[in-house]
Parts: sequence; C-alpha cells; structure tokens
Amino acid sequence: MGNILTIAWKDLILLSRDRMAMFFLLAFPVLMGVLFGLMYQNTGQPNPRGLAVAVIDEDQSQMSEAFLKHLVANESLKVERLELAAAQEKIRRGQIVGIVVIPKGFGATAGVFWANDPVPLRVGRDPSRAAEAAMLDGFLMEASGKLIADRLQDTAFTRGLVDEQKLALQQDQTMNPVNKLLVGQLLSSLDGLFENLDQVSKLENTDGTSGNPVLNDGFQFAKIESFDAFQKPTSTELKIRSGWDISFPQSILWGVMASAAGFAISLVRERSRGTLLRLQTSPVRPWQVILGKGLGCFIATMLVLVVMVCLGLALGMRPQSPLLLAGSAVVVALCFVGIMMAMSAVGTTEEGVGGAGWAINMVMAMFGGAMMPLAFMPSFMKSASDFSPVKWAIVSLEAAIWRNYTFTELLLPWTILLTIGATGFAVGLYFFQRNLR
Amino acid sequence: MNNQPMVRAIDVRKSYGDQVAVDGLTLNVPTGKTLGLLGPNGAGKTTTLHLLIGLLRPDAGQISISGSSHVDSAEVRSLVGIAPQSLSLYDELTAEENLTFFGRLYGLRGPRLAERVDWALDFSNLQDRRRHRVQTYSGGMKRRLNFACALLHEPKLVLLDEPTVGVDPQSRNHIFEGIRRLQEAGLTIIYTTHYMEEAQRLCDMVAIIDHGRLLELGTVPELIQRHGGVSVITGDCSAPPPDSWPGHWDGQVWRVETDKPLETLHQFSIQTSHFTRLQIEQPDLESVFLRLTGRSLRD
Ligand SMILES: Nc1ncnc2c1ncn2[C@@H]1O[C@H](COP(=O)(O)OP(=O)(O)OP(=O)(O)O)[C@@H](O)[C@H]1O
Ligand SMILES: [Mg+2]
Repeated sequence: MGNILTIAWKDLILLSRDRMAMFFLLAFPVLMGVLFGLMYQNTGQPNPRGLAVAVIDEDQSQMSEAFLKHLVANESLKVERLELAAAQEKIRRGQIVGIVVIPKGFGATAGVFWANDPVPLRVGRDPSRAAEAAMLDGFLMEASGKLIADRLQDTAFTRGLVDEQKLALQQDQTMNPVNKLLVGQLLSSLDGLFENLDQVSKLENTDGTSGNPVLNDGFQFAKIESFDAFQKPTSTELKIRSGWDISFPQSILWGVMASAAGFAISLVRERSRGTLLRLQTSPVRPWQVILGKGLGCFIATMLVLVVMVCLGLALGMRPQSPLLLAGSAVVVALCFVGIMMAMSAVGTTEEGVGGAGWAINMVMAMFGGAMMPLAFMPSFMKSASDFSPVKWAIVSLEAAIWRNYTFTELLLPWTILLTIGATGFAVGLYFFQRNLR
Repeated sequence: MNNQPMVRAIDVRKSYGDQVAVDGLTLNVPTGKTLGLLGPNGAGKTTTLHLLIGLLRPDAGQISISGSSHVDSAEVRSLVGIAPQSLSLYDELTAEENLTFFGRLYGLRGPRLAERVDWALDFSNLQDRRRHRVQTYSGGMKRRLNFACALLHEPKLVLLDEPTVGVDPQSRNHIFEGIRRLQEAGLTIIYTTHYMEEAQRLCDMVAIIDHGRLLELGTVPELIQRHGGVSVITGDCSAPPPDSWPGHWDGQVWRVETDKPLETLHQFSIQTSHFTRLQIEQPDLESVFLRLTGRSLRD
C-alpha cells in the first residue's frame, strides 16, 4: 500500500505542476459548465418573450380556430400545433412551458359567458416553470375574453342564445319569482343592446375586422382545468430546477475525461522519459505501479468532481439526492480510471496516447451527451449513445441531481460503468505487463 | 560467500526481432570487483545490463545475481542499483523530491530516508540546488543526480550505463571520484562505456563486446598482453643510428617494434640524446579492440 500511495502522490504532484493539464482538469470544465449553464438557464426561469406552448385542437370548430388565432396573434406566445404525445415529449425536455388542449365541444360554449356548463380548456404545465405557467394562464384568459367579444359581434347567434335562455327561464319552476323577473328583464335589455351594437358596427366596421372597443377589454373569462403534463409522474419525475442542473453533469464529465487523458499520458511519459525503468528495477511490482497510477487518477478525478459539484451548488444546482450523487461520482471516477488504463495501453508514445486519448474522449463525449444534453439529441445518436460510458456517467449524475432515480434504478448505469472500468483496468494491466519485456 | 560471483551469466541470448543484441554472453563478475563493458554503439551493452537485472527476459541462457536466479524478485532488486543511460528523473520534481520518491520505493522512510537523501545530494554535489526543479539543471548535473539515485538504498551491485555521457571534465572527475569511493566500500560495479581510457582507469576487469558477442574478458594488462601487440619506439634523427641498434632508419625516423620498450632501450644502450624527439607507443585497449575487431573503437 505504501508503494501505491507513494506513486499516486508523486503523480498528483507532477499533475499539479503541469499547467496545461491543470487547465484541462479544472478551468476547462468550469468554463464549459458556466457556458452551458447560461445556455440552459431558460429551462428554469421565466422567459416572457416567446413562451412556447403546444396546442392540441380536438374540437376543430370555428370557435376553436378563432381561439387559436388569438393565441398565435399574441407576441408573447410561441404556439405549436401538436399531437398530445409529441407535446408531452417536448414538455419533458423542457422545450415548452405548457400544453393547451381544446376539447371537443369547446366551440359550442366558448365565448358564451353566461353558459351554464362551459367546456373547459385543459392545460398541462411544467411545474418547474411556475412563473411562466402563470403567465400562460393569463394569456389564455385574454384569448378567451376576445372570444366573448367575437360572440357578441355575432348578434344573430347571441340573440338566438338569449331567446333560448328566455325560454328556459320561463320553463324554470325552481327559481324564485323575483329573480326570475330580474333575469328576464336583463335578457330583454340585452335584445336592445344587440340592436344598438348592430347599428354601431354597421357605422364603424368598414374594414370588416372584428373588435368592439367597448366590450373587448371588459370580459376576460375562461374556465381552465389542469392536468399533469408528465407521462410518468412518479419514479422518474424530472425536476430540472435550474439550468445548472442540466449543464453540470456534462461539464463534470469534461473534467473527468481530462483527468483520464492526463493520466493516460503520464504512464507513457514514464516510459518515454525513462523513469519507468527505475520503477521497474525497484522492488515495486508492476501491479503496484498500475494501481498507484490508478489511485492518483482516481484522486484527481474525485477532486474534479468535488470542485465541480461545489461550484454547481454555489451557482444553484440542487441535487435531489446528495448520497446518490456521491455514489455516482465514485462510480464515474472508477470507470474513467479504467478507461485511462486502456487508453495508456493504446500506444507507446506520448503523442500517440495523447492524440488517441482525446480522440476517444471526443467520440465518447459526442455520443455520450457531453457536447449536447442527451435530452436534445436526435434519435440515432441517442441509440448510439448506449455504447458511450460518458452517457452512462451523465445519466448517473443526472439521476442523482434531477432525475430522481432510486438506488435500484441506478444499479444499471452503475453496473455498466463499473464493468467498463474493470475491463479497461484489465486491458491496461495486461498491456503494461506485456510491454515490460 | 566471497568466492561466489556477484553476477553470473551463462550463454545469454537476446534478439529484438531479427536484430541479435546479445549473442551467447557468458561472464562472471566477482564480488567487490569492477567490470567494464567496452564496446561501440549498438554493441549490446545496455541490453546486457537490462538482461542482468531482469528488465528484459533473455531468449535463452541463465542469469543469477548473488546466487539467486530470481533476478526480478524484491530481494535481489534491493541489492541492485542502476544509473540508466537515458536519464531516469522527473524533470518537474526537484532533486530532493526525486531522491525522496525513489528512496521510498526502496522502502526507506523517516529519518533514514532524510539521511540518505542528504547523502545523495552531497554525493552528486547538488546540495545548493536541492530545491530546484530538475528541468533547470545542466546535463552534467542531471547525470550526477541520475547516478546518485542508484545509490540511495545502498545497493551491493551498481550498474552504471555510460555515466559520463555529455559531462564536462570537472563533473567527470567528480563521477570518477564517486566510483572510487564505491570501490573502496567494496561494491561490485558494472560500468559500460565506449571510452577506453575510462575502462582502463576504473575497471579491474574489462569485457570487450561487439555485435552482441563477448570478444575478450580479463584485466587490462592481460588483455593488452594477449591482444595488444607490440610497442613501437620511434625517434627523429638526422644522423644514422649505430649498426648495433635494432630496427631501421628511413633517413629521418628510426623505428623499432618490441614487447618490452624500456628493456629494449636499456639492453641496446640506446642514447636518447641521439634523437630530437623520441616516442614510445604502448598498446592500449584501443589496439586490443582494433586487433579483435579489425575496427577502431572511435569509428
Ligand atoms: N528496444 C529495441 N528494439 C529493437 N532493437 C533494439 C532495442 N534496443 C536495442 N536494440 C538494438 O540492439 C542492439 C544493441 O543495443 P544496445 O542499446 O544494447 O547497444 P549499446 O551497446 O548500449 O549501444 P550505445 O553505446 O549506443 O548505448 C542495437 O543494434 C540496437 O539497435
Ligand atoms: Mg547503451
């Protein structure tokens, strides 16, 4: 153990004196984290310009069309017509704030503010974006209010409704006679109001557009009913509480990869600088040399993980399970220590291993989701990503930060990571011993 | 114990692919002696050293150190120190840190380690630079440190692979002085070089190798006697030498070949005052090498 610690400690000192390596280890991932974090800030905070919503029109009526037109005309909204499943996928990825379902029968009662049993709009919201969701509700009210104006414009329709109501009133036996009289008079006075409105609009409405200045603002009324927008609301409930939650798992991985690449070079460097010869002629065994390097790499990687997590916390990342995050960090570090071993076996020159190491990193990173979040990847890349340890590393970290995995659910990514790590370690040790002679 | 050789190699062979680097090497190095491995570039000196300490596995043959054939066991390794031909130091660490690290690998700890590190800094004359990084050292300073690293754990057998390459005369003398001290302390040393003066000056025995083969092994006088050939006496003179003198005169230079030049001068009562210049060329390892290989060592 003494020998292993001695070698690990020496490697950490060497690393600390290599400015370039330190930059890639710490500064680079921090830069990536902050950059990506700023990019994904939107996912967590209100964005009043262009609130993205999906609208599902199940009614397909003239009134639902009119309602949609009002939503589209609102500059603060970005309206997309989608199927429910596609919309749910988008809200899960944080690409939209809410889903508005215009149910069947909406058109019959929309804008009829005195309707007894109006068909409600159904709205699903992203719970992590409550502020934006509240703004969405406001915009829906506004559009509904405009529908009322539309209805009133259509005096023939409204009069028909008023007549219907009058008839219903006369037939109603339960109402107290005083109220009955009052409502009857109100309905009759509406007849007179419509009469006047018809004349006013005939005078003013020369361009044919709708819009009654008197009534447009007064009525803002809609019935809204909520539903849960997430498909699997329990175990895998997603809680992206800030952009940092998304950006940090990736950025941490950059640090981890830099650490692995740095240490992979250090083993070849021992060979090319001749110091390996002295290690090999000392009483230290080859596996102790390898374990020492591995331990150094593990400590450096853990250091990166800790620094990045602390930075993330300072910026607003809020892990759901600190314990699982710690577990994931250790597993990720072990996996990349193994990968380091294999990388160092790839070649016998610093340039070779350095180049190959970063090439492997880039490919792993690209497919594993360290360049763009897994959630935003096209599907072919998503399926390829299953082969990248970076993906499983990011999944493990995300799982503990915002995916709310249970320990059992984490076992799969952890097992995969540890298997990759152990394989890499075995490959590295085999080549290291083979190259001795 | 004392009649057991420190190093024993029997018919050792090693090839790199088609390239035969060591070809049937058999030699014994007695305990407490210094063996010089003398040969030109590519002769197989470094390969031989690496075979002896188990860095390379021989294709054939047997090697034992201090009676043990497990040359890569921890026990044997603690007996051996090597100063590799290619510097084996961490440039980013200071001399002190390098020595401390290597000392720890040999199990040194605490005050004992500090003491040995201090000794090694004295030995390499680097006390005043002990806290400077090795990358700021001159070539000669690095060589000296490389040498000292081999001695930290007080080995019984020291392998020095061209320890004076790229070293100025002053550092060179410092290194020679160090070797003398090790010899006095009774260490067994194997010293590779292609400078025959070094071999002649430092080594009890010299092995001449070329193309991986051991051509001769013996003390320096033995080798010269066996293969050095005769000494040559030359003298410039304008007057013809007396007829009783051996050799011949070409009108300017008188020349005679003899095994024992001083005795010859004495025997024929040759007066040195007859010459404007008199020179005795004695055979050395260079001429031994020339005889054995048909080539000069300096090629
Ligand atoms: N790693 C290697 N791979 C292939 N061939 C090698 C290797 N090391 C040495 N050789 C070859 O083995 C032969 C002996 O090399 P070695 O280094 O032992 O010579 P040397 O006597 O130490 O030479 P020098 O005085 O230049 O140090 C040379 O022909 C060399 O080309
Ligand atoms: Mg050599």
